[in-house]
Amino acid sequence: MECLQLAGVDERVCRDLHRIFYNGIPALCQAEATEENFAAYYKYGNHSTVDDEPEKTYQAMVKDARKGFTLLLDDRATLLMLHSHLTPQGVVDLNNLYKSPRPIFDSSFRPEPWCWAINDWTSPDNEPPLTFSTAELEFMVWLYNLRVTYPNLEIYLADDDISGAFRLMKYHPNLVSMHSSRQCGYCVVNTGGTFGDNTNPSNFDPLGLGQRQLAHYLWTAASSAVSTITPYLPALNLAPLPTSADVAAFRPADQDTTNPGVLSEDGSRKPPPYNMHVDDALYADVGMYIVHTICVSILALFWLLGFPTNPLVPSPLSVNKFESFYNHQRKMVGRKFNSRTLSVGLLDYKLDQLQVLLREWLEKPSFNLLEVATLLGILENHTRYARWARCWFFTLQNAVRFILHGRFKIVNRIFNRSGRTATLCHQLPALLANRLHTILARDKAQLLWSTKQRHAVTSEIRASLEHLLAYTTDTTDPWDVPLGLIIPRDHHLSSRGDTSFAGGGAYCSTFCFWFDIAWSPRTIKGATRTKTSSDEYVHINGLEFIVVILQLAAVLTRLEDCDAGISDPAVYFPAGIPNIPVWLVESDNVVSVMWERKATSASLQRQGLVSVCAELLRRRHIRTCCEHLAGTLNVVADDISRNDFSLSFPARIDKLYKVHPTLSTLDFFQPSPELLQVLTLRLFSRLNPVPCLLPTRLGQFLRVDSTASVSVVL
Amino acid sequence: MRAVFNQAVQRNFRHDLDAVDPRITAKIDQPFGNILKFGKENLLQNFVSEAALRHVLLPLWKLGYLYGDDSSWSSLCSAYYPASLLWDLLSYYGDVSFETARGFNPTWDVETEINQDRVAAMTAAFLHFNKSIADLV
Repeated sequence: MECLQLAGVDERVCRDLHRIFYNGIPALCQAEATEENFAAYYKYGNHSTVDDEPEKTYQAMVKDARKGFTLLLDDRATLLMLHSHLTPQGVVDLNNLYKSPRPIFDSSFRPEPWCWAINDWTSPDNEPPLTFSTAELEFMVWLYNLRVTYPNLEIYLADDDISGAFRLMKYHPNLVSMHSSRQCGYCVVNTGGTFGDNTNPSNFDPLGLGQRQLAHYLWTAASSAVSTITPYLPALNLAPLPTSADVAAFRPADQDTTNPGVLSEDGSRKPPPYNMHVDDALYADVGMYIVHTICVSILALFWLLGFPTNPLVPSPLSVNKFESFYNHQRKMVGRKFNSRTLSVGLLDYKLDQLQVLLREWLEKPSFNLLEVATLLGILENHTRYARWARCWFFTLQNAVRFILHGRFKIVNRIFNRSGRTATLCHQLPALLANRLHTILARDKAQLLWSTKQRHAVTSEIRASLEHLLAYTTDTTDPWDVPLGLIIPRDHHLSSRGDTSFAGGGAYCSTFCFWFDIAWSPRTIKGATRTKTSSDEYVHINGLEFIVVILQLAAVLTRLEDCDAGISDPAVYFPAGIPNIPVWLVESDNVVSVMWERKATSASLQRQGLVSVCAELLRRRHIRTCCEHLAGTLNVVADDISRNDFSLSFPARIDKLYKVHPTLSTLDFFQPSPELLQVLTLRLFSRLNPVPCLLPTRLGQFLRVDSTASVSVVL
Repeated sequence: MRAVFNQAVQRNFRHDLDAVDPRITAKIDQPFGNILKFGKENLLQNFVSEAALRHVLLPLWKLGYLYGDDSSWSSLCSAYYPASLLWDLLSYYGDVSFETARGFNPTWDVETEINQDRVAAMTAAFLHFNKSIADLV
């Protein structure tokens, strides 16, 4: 512990580690169980999935027992054990084609509504905070910064994994018998943390943080790390150096104040941040440092959890998962990272699986709720960073939403008729009355999802699936996203827009443009005098979002003009055009901000508009950053949108220029009629299963004065 | 308070506790911060389940209750299922040495099946420690 403190490991982390290593986990559990509680769990036994997969359950049990994570007793000891609590075991991913079944310790399960499970006695609120959720993004930031400092050097990707993870932490002796279960004719008592307790991720976090902070220190201090660690590892092999043609194709990274590179102010190299994603340490470095970087990570792990010097104790490093060949590509946290293209994408085997799944779906006449939810989950995971692709499966999202909505009504009717609420109220002691709503919600969710009802694969769904299959088959590295589009960066340009019921407008000082747009009588009627149930109804949020889309179109037009030599890029980017420009768009409409950020919406009308925005984002790499701006600060855009649109264009701009003379120095952006047509169609249409076709030219910039006559109406 | 719970009273209380069960003060006196003494007793980490007849059968037996009275034990076993479980366990594991249950598993990297000797040793230790897993570990 003193070593950790001397190495600069956080005081809180040291305190947590001390408690974990000397007292055990969790930090707080003061529980008392009744005989009825024990009897209810004893009677329930295990989940039925255990019987479906006895071989897998047995193998998992053998593995845990031989590694010392559990104690096995004669099954007859179960009933006699003091202070015992039995937890049901289950197996997940039973019918999953691509995953092997995995046993789980169901610490949340209550066989009766009044029962107390382990997770009722413990709470993550009393444990250390969780920090590993940002590890993937922080690793991307590190990778990007490496490229900033070393534009022409190969960056090697590396990772290592802690063996056993949660199992390495030991329960306090008083809480060991609380983690008992019955499996394959044995009484199994868990001494090591289970994969099911709600406190275990929080308790594992200090181990990850400790390793990370220790490695950070050792990277500078432990010059002999390589010679110390080499005897414990297989030979580390680096891929041959890239050719000059390979180097020329490296994607560059743009330096800014947020991503200044990996050198300190004094010019020395910063140590890698060693981001921990639960039990995976993620890191990368250039050739001259990579071996040292790898060895330091493992040295920190061994310092914390012990060197594998005793043959009777398994190594804390996952030796069988340790991949000792390093190059610019690596599978990390379930994705494919590439340091040359500086991107993250889909793993080859996952792409194959997706294509097989899509082909199966295209042959299906019908589907059930679970099948569509599974497909949707896979697609959402693969397009996590390619947000422009999310609108390609809006039809699937709508199908799930429609089915769930219909079933929810049925489930509610069943519940109202069955008197389940009254029964539960009767069963639950007054002390546990607050559980009523969660139990009801869980029961309803169970009923909602336990349907075998089949639904037809509609033509819209089929069109979406065909498009997805064609894209994933025809494209090299589908959904491969440059890190510059994902990580936080300084913005190169910003614009602000606003909307009223008469029109909308925006301006961008950096790219020297502004525009206004009048709403057509149909749009105004849709927004002000139409029932919400009507197909002609237009929500003001939709109009706000159209202004965001037009700003994006204007920005893209300016960039395309720069590429084509129509505009001089030096005017807008004195330091040169960045590889991926960052555009900050500010809007006083929270909903538009959310649509832009997530590229999704529950409303059919807004889905159409989101898909236009998504297609624009595919047109050119541009990092968008949509932020909310208080209405009171959005003065200029507000004045543009509240102008008197009944006036002629010259009179209107004359009025505006008098209040905001700076606007007269900017170009006027006129969207192309084709783009306005696409927007109108999407505003008033409903289901849009395939992406919209964007016009070749999105618009043009004009120099306007009081003699000009320009009319933009939507 | 200090006048009532003075040092002499505290000493007497410890003496009384020792008379009831020496393990209580032994646990309280465990040195904190020594890795060999993992899991010192404290008020933040504890779990207690309601006592039942089956939990006290073994201590009763060890205290000599119905000791040597086989017919009474068999009557108890037929009337009360946990008693027969205990009887079976004592018959199977009562004389098993549990020395091997201590320390690391020497065959951890080659085992593909459950090590029955280890299960037997662990169950014997369980009986030795009066069915308390906290004492066993």
